[in-house]
Amino acid sequence: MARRVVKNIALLAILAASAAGMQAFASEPTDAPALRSKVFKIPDMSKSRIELPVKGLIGDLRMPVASDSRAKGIEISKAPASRNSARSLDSQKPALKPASSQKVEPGKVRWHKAIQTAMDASAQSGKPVLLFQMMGRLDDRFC
Amino acid sequence: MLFSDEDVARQINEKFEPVWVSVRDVPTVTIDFGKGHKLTRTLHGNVATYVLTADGTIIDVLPGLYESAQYLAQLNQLWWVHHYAARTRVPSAFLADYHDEQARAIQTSGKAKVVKPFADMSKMSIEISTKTILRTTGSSYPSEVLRVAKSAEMVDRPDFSKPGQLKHWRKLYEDTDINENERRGQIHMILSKRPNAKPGDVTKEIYRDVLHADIDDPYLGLQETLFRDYPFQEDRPVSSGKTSQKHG
Repeated sequence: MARRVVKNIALLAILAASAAGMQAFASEPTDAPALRSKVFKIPDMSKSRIELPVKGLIGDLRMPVASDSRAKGIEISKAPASRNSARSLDSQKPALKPASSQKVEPGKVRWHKAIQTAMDASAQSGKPVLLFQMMGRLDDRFC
Repeated sequence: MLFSDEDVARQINEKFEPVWVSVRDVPTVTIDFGKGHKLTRTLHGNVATYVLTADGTIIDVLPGLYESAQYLAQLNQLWWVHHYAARTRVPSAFLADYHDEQARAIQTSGKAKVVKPFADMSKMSIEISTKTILRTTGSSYPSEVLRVAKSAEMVDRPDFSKPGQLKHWRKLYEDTDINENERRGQIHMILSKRPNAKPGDVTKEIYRDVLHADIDDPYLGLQETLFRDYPFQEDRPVSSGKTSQKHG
């Protein structure tokens, strides 16, 4: 019962905020661009300046209507039931699922297929290994 | 895009045995605007470039994204560190000294020392040590990279559909400056204490403490931000009530 009340309150908050936003657009059309950027500010999607945009994004989405991101679309999958820190890095399941995985060419570097292969090649050539570690995959569009 | 640069690719192919690995999937957000209009972007896609010996010992790490000229300059210096380390009696002691020296330099002058090329080919027969391979550069602020970032030819929103635009992306230069003058110092501190470390020994620490992306945490340390004011308990992940297990 209490949960239903909370849900209803949240729904009312969404509707009220949405209505307030529409009123703002309707009553002051000349300010529409500025208001639009305030209500739904395009977040900094670049990767610190580049690498730390997440809190800004979340902040932006949460700012106008608290439940908008939940209702409309940040796709957050369920967290794994349990976490096993002993699993290998590659086997860890992400909480935020990529929406697609379009393959792309990973640049013009001639990459070895595996780190052991690169280490073996290094032993032969005397060149150091360059290990590029990343979240995501270099051959995915969204990486 | 960095690895699509002809010069970057050529120099990496010539000097290194390159390999890329994924430490976890990159988080993405999709915003569904309705009527088929969806926007998908990646978040927090942090990277680190390790230079390793053939047995996997870490020579050094470049944290985060760099603009191409600075990336190549730093890789070139690390190539030389690898070269010198192999010619010392105790490579691990040499690497510990190297990282200790660089951490101190960044702490005191805000800038790492430069690795001299060909220091072992001097006419004088010298023993390789950090004293013989490192040289101090004039300390200046803002750094050269940051000066470039502030120059008029830099843009905030490059058109990535056009070739060469990455070279004019201001944020990439700003990030390079942070990587070199802040994050890099942390890397040297970590490696000065663990000069024999392999990537698996320090990856989680580097991602958590240097790149601020805890790869052990399914929400990358953002769980509290995501769920603090969220009213529906049933939608919360199982562990959302717990405090994040980081910074131990």
